[in-house]
Amino acid sequence: MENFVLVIGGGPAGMAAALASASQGVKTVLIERDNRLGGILNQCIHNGFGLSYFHEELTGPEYAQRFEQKILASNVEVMLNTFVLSVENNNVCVVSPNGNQTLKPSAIVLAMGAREKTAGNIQLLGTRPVGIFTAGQAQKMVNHFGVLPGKKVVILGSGDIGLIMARRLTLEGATVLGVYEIMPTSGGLARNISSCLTDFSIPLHLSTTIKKVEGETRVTGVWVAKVDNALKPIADTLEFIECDCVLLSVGLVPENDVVKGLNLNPTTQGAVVDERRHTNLNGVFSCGNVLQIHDLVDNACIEAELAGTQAAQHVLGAKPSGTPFKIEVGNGIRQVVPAVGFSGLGNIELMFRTSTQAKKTFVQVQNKLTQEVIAQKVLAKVFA
Amino acid sequence: MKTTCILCPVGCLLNVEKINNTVVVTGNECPRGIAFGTSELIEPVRMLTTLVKTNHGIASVKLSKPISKEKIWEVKKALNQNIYTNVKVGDVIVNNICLTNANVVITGFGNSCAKNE
Repeated sequence: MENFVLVIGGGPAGMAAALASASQGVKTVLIERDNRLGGILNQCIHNGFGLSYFHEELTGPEYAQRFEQKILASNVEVMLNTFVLSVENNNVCVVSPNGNQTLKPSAIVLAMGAREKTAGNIQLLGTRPVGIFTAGQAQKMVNHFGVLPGKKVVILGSGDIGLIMARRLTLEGATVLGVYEIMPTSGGLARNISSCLTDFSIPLHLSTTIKKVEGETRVTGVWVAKVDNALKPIADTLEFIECDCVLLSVGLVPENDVVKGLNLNPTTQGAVVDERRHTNLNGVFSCGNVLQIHDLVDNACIEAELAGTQAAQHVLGAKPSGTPFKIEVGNGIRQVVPAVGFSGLGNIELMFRTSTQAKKTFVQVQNKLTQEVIAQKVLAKVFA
Repeated sequence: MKTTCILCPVGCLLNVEKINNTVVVTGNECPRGIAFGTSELIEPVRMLTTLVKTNHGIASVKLSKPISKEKIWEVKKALNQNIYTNVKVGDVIVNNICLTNANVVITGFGNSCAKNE
């Protein structure tokens, strides 16, 4: 059996990684659980994708189709309707309409993406009637099945998915009563606040959260409350909002569960990787949202191309040159990828998130031992 | 007036003013913001991405160009009236919808079993 690279996940990162691996002349297999490639982009019917990668503004499905066409034109072997049960010691157990198989690739690229945080994750109090969905679940219901999750909707969380769904639901005939955000600032892009909320007169309530859900069979309403500096609800600000649907847009979690023995970075919840995107497991690489949540799919694909290339190089026997060194977060930095660099591999691109939003921020990379400043940059704007 | 540019993820906060019959835009980090700010003052335009019914299920669509913000609901209602038949990705299903000079283009298909009869 020929040595091959196995890419797990046929979304944008997986497709980009598979193409990069195949272009190195290494046999590449791409596994996808759904009946088609494209991943989450298939349900993102809004536009704004591809500005930097394709220099065009595309909708999610169109961006996915560009990569799909490249995959079809390549010699990447695609296995659809194939679900990974476990990854252990580079044995990958999968199930598909053809039954069970154990694949033994020489290198693996993890590109499974992320899942959404649920009512359980945020310990949402109250009953569990019909009508509580994550924003992405609702997006799938609307954009794939043409079904509304409710008629009078409250959205918890002002991240981009929640904002996009506020607009989608309004356009498709529901009433979005408001978006509630526990933090004092929104987590979403300013352009989404403008084009999804302001354009449709949907109010954004900052420093406010849902204290409790009510309803027995169906949601009948929620109690919302302002929160204090410790994010705890302030009792006498409680207000009842009548609604039949609650959407949760409260965070994404990289979906690494099937991989045994993977070292995870607690700040990203993705794998600890070096600059090649190689994890602690020999021959296992990681990229896209399963490694770190990306705001732009273009960046996820660029990262995936790096991982796919390196996975192929690994199969061809390449080893990183130079001595490894750690990369850690310093003051004001919430997370940084990669966690390890190699002195022999040239320039490293650091991808990081800051702890707060700010304008005109000075960022510095420093040698921890010698205090020497290795690089510095002024950024016009940083988002948390 | 103040407005957020929506052309890219940066979302510059623009200041748009009419000074001596000229529109002056400041706050933009790139030239595209000037055109956007100007149109927001004179005639705001928006892209519409939404769904249509087809004889093979739900399909997603976009407009070939942004249209006047005021026409968005009229266009959406017009699209809701029809079931479009035998369409594929890239097809133009409506030309010059509601006299906006924009066409409606199929961008993808839902992955559902909820097909129309």
